[in-house]
Amino acid sequence: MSELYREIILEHYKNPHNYGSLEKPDASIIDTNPLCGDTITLEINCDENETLSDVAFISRGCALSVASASILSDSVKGKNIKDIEMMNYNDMQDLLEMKVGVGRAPCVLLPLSALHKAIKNIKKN
Amino acid sequence: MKKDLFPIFNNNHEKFAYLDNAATTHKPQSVLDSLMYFYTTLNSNVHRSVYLLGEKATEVYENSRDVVASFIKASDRREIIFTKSTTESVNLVAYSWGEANISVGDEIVVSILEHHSNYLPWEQLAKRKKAILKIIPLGKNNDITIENVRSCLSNKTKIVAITHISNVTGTITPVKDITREAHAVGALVLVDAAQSIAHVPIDVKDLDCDWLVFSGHKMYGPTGVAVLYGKKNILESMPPFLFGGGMVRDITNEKIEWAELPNKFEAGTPSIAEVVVLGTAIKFLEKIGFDSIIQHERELTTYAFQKLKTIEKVITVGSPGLAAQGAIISFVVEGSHPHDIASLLGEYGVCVRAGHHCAAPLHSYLNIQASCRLSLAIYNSKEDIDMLIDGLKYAKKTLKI
Repeated sequence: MSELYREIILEHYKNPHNYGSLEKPDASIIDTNPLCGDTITLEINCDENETLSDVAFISRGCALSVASASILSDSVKGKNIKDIEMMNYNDMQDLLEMKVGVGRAPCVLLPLSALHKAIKNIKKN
Repeated sequence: MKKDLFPIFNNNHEKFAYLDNAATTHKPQSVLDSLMYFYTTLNSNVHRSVYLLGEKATEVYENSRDVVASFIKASDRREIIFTKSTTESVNLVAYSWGEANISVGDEIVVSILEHHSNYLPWEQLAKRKKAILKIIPLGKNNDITIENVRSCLSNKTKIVAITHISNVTGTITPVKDITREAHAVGALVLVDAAQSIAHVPIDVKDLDCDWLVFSGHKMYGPTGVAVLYGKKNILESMPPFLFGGGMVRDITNEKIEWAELPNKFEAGTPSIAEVVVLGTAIKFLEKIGFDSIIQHERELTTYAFQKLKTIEKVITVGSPGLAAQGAIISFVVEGSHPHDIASLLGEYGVCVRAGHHCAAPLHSYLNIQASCRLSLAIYNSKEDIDMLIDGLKYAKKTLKI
C-alpha cells in the first residue's frame, strides 16, 4: 500500500474539487514549479471581511500537486486571509494527513504558493 | 556483477535498484579507501609546501593529472585542468575564451540535446556579445546527423558545444565527425563528456576536439572534482578565469605575469583529496576495461528496452535506436505524471529520476513536460531492470492506469 498515494489522494486527483475558473475573480495567478514544469492557474474572490469567499484552479501537474490543490481549496473557503497567509509546509502535511519528503515538497507547496501570491495581489490593489 | 565492490549495496538492508547513474554513481571500496588514505596519511596543501608531507601531497595530486591525461590520451599533462564541476569547466571556457573571442554577429552552435550546463553558458555568452545561438535539431531517428550539423555551420561559426551522450535520451553523437566539420569552417569544438566518460573510451587526439569536460562523480569518483581538457595552444591563448593564489607568476613588476599551464586555471586551493581519489577511480575503471563495460551496459540497455516494451502505456522518449544508444533511457507512462511514477518506483525500491533532467529545451522539442529516466552503470544487473518492471506494474496499479 502506497504511503503517498492513498485512495483519498487519488480520488482528489481524478476528480479535483473547485476545478475550473471564477466568473469575476479578484485575483488570478499562474504559478509554476521550475523543476518539473508543473503549472497551476488559481483564482480567488474575497469579501469585505477579508474572508476568502471562493477559489478555483486549473492545474497541469502530478497527482500530488493536483490533489493538494483540491484539498487546500476545500479547506480555505470561508477562512480569513490572514490565517491563510500563515499556512506553511506543515499545515499542508496536516491537511493531506501524511508526511511529504523534501523531494515532493515542491509539488505539495505549489498550490499554497499560488494562493499566497493571489492574496498578495488582492492586498496590493 | 560488480555490486560486491560497492559498499553502499551492502550497507542498505532493504534491497534497491539504483538506476540513477546519470545523476551520480556510487563509489567502490578502493575509491573510498583512497580518500581515507589521503586524509589520514598525506593531507596537506599542494604546490607551496616545502616540507615532506606537503611534497608528498603535491606528488599524488600531480600524479592524478598524469592518470587523467593518459586516460583520455591527451598528449600533454598540462592540458588537464582540475575544476570543481563539469558546469564550472564549461563556464571557464565560455567566460575565458568566449569573452575574448566572440563578437557581434558571430555564431555559437549547440545541439537540442544539451544539458543546461552546456546550453546556458553559451546562450548567455551569445546574449552578452549579441552573437547568434544556433541549435542543431534532431534527425528523423532522434539522432544528431551530420547533415543537421552542417546546416548550422557557416563561416561565422566560432564554436560548437556538443554533448557526447545525451543525459536524457542516451543518444551518442558523432563528435569526431562534428569536430571535423566544425574545424572545416574554422570553428572550435567543446565536447561535454559528462555522460560518456565512464561508458566509452575517449581519445581526445583521435576526436581532435579543442576542449572536453567531465566530472569525477559520474565515473565512480568523488564529487567536487571535474576536468577541463583543452589543447595546449588554445589554453595558453586563453586569459585566466579565476584570479587568486597559485595562478600568478610575478606581480612584483609593473606587468603581471600569469602562471604557466595548468596552474593559470587552478587559482585557490583545489579539491586536493578529490583530485587524488579521481585518479583511483580511473584506475578502477581501467582495470574493469571498456570492452567489458560496453558489453555489459549494452546487454542491459537492450534488455531494458525489451522489458519496457512489454508494459502497456510505457513509451520511451527520444531514443535514437540501438546503434546510437548509450545506457540511458527516458520514458513516460501514458495517463500519469513522471513524478508520480518515480515516487511510486521509489517506494518500491527503484531509484530513477523524474523531471526534465536539466534539459528543458529538449523536453519542449519532444513536446513533453517531463519524463522518467533510467541510467545504467557497471554494477547494474538484469535483476535491477526486473525490479523496475515490477515497480512500474505497482505504480500503474496504484494510480489505476
